[in-house]
Order: sequence, then C-alpha cells, then structure tokens
Amino acid sequence: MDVVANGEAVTVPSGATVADLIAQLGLGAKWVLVERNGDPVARAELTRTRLREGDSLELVRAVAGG
Amino acid sequence: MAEPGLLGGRRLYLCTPDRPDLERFLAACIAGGVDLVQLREKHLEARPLLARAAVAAALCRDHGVPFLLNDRPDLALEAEADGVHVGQDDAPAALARRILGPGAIVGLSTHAPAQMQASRDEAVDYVSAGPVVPTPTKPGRPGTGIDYVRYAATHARRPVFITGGVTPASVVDLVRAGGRRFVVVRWLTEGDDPEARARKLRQALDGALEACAAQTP
Repeated sequence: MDVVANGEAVTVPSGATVADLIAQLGLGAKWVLVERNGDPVARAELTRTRLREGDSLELVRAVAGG
Repeated sequence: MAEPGLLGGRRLYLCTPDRPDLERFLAACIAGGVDLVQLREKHLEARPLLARAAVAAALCRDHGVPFLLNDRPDLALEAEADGVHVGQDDAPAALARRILGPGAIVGLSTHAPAQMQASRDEAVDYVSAGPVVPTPTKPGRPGTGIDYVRYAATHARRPVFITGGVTPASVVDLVRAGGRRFVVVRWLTEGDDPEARARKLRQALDGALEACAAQTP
C-alpha cells in the first residue's frame, strides 16, 4: 500500500499504522507534529490510526538550532 | 516524483531574483535556516540566466540544499538544478517532468482552489499556494486571503508552500491556519544581514509549529 509522507511516496505493509510509518522512516522521537490528510493525529492515537491507500502525511520534525 | 529525501521535511523556501552577491546571499540564508532555494529571474536572457543558475546550483549543492530554477526546465537541466518551479502560464509541469526526468523536483504555483484540484493530476512534487496578500513581486495578482491557506491545508495531497508576505510576524497566523511550509521572498531579499533575518524567520516558524503540536493531545 502506498502513502505519501512529506511529499514522498512510501510503501507500507497493509494494516500499517501511523506509528509504523514513523518507525519505518526512522524518524525516532524527533517529530513534533503529525497530520494525516490535514488533520492532526494525537500522540495517543498514533499506534491506533491505520493508514489508508493514498493517505498524505505531514511529519514535522523538531529542528535543532538553526 | 522527486528522489526520496530531496524534498522531505523542507519548509523554508527562499525565492530570489539574481543579485551581484548571489553566492554570499544564498550561503547566508542557508546558514540562517533556509532549506530550499529557487532562482526566479525574469529579466535575463537564456544564456546569462543559465550562467547564474549554474552558480546558484553549485553553491546550493555544496550546502546540501536543493536548488530549483523558475520557469525554465531546459535551463534547469543544463545548470544541473535539482528541479524547476513553474507557474500556471509557464511551461507545463508535464513537459518539465519529461525534460528533467523522474528524479527531479517539479513544483507548480496555484492561486485558487480549482488550480489546487487540477494539480492533483499533474506530475508535480509540491505546489505553492498564494500569494496570501498582494505582493510587488507578482504585480497585478490579488491576494488569495488566509482562507486559501485553510483550503490548501485540508485539500492538498502534496506538500504545500504558502507564499506572500511571509515574515516572522505573519508566519504565526499562517501556521495556525494550516500552513506548514513557506516561500519567502522580500523578508530575506530586502533587508541587511540575511542570515540574521533567516534565523529569525526560521525560529518563528519552528516555534509556531511546536505551538501547534502542543495543542494536539
């Protein structure tokens, strides 16, 4: 199943959750904001929110310094 | 679509005309937190534009920041840019894709919901949305208003870069309206000390994003 994370196509196993995607991308705990099709996903919901084909994820990572 | 990692989480996109100190200016902006660069120069013929694009492309490559050329996929190819940004009246995005290939970044301007919808069928990696307010860099184009930011945030299926009057002061409301990525022109091109100005904008942007995150339980 294909989703789009920060504009890039990513293939995830069917049934994968948002948390699975974050793990697959190796983003670790550095993300600060996760949105699915424009809607924020609460932290507690990350492991329960299943991805659907074509979902668009915005993953905002914390930026160290600048 | 662009190669993985090329566009990624980049969210502060400088769009600049040519200038005598282009290399120093770009390096300063990147040091301050700009993570994507576009050269938009409407007053140069192809040959001198190509030369300036090659200069910018080399500088950006050295700093690990993707470089896009405005409007000219043919020159973007020759200058070894990472991609091209086209407007609604420029070369079609599909032509840009054919010229630059599957690994390049192709971006498209949108100014209204119908254009945003139409962009879904285009082979583009990101769209821009705006200008939110009228801007002297796009004479004759009215501002879209902040409602278009809200529309873009919920209807786009690709990364959206918000354009028009992006400053450390305005970016807070733009983030609140759903903007997550931003194009900046005048805030960086018109002031002294672009590095300090870029840093100030970057901090305002990151702060606004974190404040947004804090509201999500």
